[in-house]
Amino acid sequence: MIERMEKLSVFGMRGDRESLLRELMRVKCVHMRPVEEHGGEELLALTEPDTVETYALEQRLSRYAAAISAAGPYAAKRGMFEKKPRVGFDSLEDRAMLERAEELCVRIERVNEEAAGLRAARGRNAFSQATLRPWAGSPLPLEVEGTRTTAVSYCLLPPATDLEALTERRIEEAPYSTLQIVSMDEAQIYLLAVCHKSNEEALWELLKANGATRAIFSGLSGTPSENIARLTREIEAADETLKRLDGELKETGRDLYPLQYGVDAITVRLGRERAGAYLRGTQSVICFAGWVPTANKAQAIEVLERYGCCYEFADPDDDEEPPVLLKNGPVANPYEAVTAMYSLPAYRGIDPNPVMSITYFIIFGMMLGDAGFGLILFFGGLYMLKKMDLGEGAVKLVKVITMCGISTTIWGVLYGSYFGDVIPRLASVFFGKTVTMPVVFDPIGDAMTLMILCLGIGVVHLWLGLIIKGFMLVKRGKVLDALFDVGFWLLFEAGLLMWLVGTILALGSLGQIGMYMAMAGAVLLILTQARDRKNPIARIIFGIGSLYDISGFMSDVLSYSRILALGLATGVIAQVFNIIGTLPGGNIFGAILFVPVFLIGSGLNLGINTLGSYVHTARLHYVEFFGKFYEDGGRPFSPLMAQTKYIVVTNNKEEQKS
Amino acid sequence: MKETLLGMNGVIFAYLGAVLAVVLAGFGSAKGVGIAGEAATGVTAENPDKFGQTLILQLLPGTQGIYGFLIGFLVMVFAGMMPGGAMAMDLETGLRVFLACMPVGLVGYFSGVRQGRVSAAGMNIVAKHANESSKGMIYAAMVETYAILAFLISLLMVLGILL
Repeated sequence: MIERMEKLSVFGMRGDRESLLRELMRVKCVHMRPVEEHGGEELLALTEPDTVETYALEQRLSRYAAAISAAGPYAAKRGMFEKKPRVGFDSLEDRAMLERAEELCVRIERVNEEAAGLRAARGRNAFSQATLRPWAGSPLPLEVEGTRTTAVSYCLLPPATDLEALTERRIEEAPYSTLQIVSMDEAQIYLLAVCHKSNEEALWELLKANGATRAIFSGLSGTPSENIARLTREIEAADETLKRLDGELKETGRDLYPLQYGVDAITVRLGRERAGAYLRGTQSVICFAGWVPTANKAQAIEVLERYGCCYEFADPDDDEEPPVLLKNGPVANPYEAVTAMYSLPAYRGIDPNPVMSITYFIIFGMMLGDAGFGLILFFGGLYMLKKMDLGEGAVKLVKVITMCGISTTIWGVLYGSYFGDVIPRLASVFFGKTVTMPVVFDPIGDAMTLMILCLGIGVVHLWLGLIIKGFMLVKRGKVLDALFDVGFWLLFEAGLLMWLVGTILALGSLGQIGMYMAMAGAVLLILTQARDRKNPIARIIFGIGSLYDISGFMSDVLSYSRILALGLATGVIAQVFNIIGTLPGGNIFGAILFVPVFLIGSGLNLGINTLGSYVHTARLHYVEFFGKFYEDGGRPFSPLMAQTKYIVVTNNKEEQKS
Repeated sequence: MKETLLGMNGVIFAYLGAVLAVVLAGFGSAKGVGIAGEAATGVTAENPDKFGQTLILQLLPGTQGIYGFLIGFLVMVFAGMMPGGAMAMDLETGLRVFLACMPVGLVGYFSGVRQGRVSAAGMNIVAKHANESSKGMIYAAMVETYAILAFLISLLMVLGILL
């Protein structure tokens, strides 16, 4: 059912702002809306929008999140089947815990900062070491630039330089000089140049003509190899410190709970601050507006009374579109996840979940149709629900799959399929016995019967959709529309089907009745379908045109043949794996091969066909079923509440994890 | 001439049909899963947590290959191509089996590729609105409809001829 909503407007004291919002968060039943939407020109003129300060909180939140992701790899992982810690609503702003979070965050940040600085320095050192390495063979300390009469310089030459020619010219042009090759690699030739000061200019002229550049080592003293050794020591020291810091991070990061608590606590506070954006007020009064489900009114009133607020409830106006909250019993409730994936129903539309809890259940079971898989889904689902902390949507989805496991089992029994044909096959291969499972519908041997059943289910499903549409029209007082758009179509379609079945099965009277029903339906549709047209001739022509919609009905029905195809696929894939697994025959090798083939094959089959059944059952509902009546586009009801990621907020005061 | 032709063992056509069902549908799925996988890698590189969701989307165009494989396998089993099976079939039966394999092979190929592209595009939904990713799955499943219909026809035909 779609919950009835009432609009709420509240005036309260500014001093109560924080605690009022917090208490409303606790009861989770107020969906805030802008006061402007609620209306009241005078009110708007008298009040100012509240200013909202979220920057500091956002800053803090992103710091904590960064710290968590930095230390995350070292944190003790929460097992898949381990529940999240529970925190009472009143313990959400535990000052001591928040201080621990801040402290932990600062510690991680400090380690990170220090490590980042070290890494940068280490990178610089490694770079200078790499540039010095080719000069390792040079005997001179780097600070030596020459003597009273000689000059020392370091020179880089391209590797292709013709050194002999260079030497010849050097002896000619700068005779008082020497060039010593320190080292060579594929990129450079490294030369130590010593010359008499009078020759320096000529020597460099010559070198430059050969494409040389000067290497400069400013600020370094000692020989290159001494420098390399020093840098190696520094890099090693940095590595040592980095390792220590990493260990420190590992140590600090082991228990990130305070930070996770901090993230959630601040997110909740931030949510409250942001709710402040819906507030208006004067210096001493605040006012705000919202939607409250009628069913939860009492809870909201209790809070508002406690803070001495002045409040007013009213029904929504016809042009207002309240948010949508679905409320269903335990059986239909999980299917809300399937509906919500398409789109929530409009507030004044209809909630399809009660019907879907039957049709989705049946069709999914037919598509998967195997007793073994059904039981796995059912018990697997139950286990997950008991042991895992799933989000709200995921819980619903798992519940859908768990329930559909029951349906899958039932259809599996009807098809005589238990992990495909594993029982008869094992019996015949290993024990030489012929076992036949009891079968009601044999999908492989008698596919036509099942095909007709599938199409029949399709017809019923589509008509259910039409009937819901009729029901909706009647509820809105459009009885004639219901008769014309639903009743006549049902008459026409049912007549055609009876005519068809009666003719095929040669049941004369049924066919006759069907024919007259179809003809009556057709005439009535021709007369009424284009009733918005004034011109009677146009009305008839467009009425005849509307009969063409029957092709849509036919293609919709045929779409349900996928139920058979997917049902067959599960059974046949299982049989294929069973055949492969028993290929060696009934000996010991056969037994050894069979177990892994059966396990892997069944796993694959279950995975791919559960996904297929889920998606295609959803499609039959979204396209064929919803197409008949569904009015979508509802906004979800999202009340002011504590939204958390790492912890589960409980309303009663529970013990907090230390 | 006519008699020799009709007296010919038609099982070679049944082989051809089984091979094409597996090969064409397999090509389609391999291409489709490949295209979707490339897109999935991009999304997962940005955010490794999305592995599960992208994997499911990538998997969707894989079904065509399975349908083709199933038809090929059924032909093998029922036409006696498994070890120890009898291998004789008149020409007409062989050709009928061949034709029966065509829907799943051809539709499997083209729908596999197309579905792969829809899945790849659906990765955008996973990247931007992770909790809406089922919508991408539904879009991909729309394409699969035609592979399912072709599989159904091939299956009914093969069972009708060989059972």
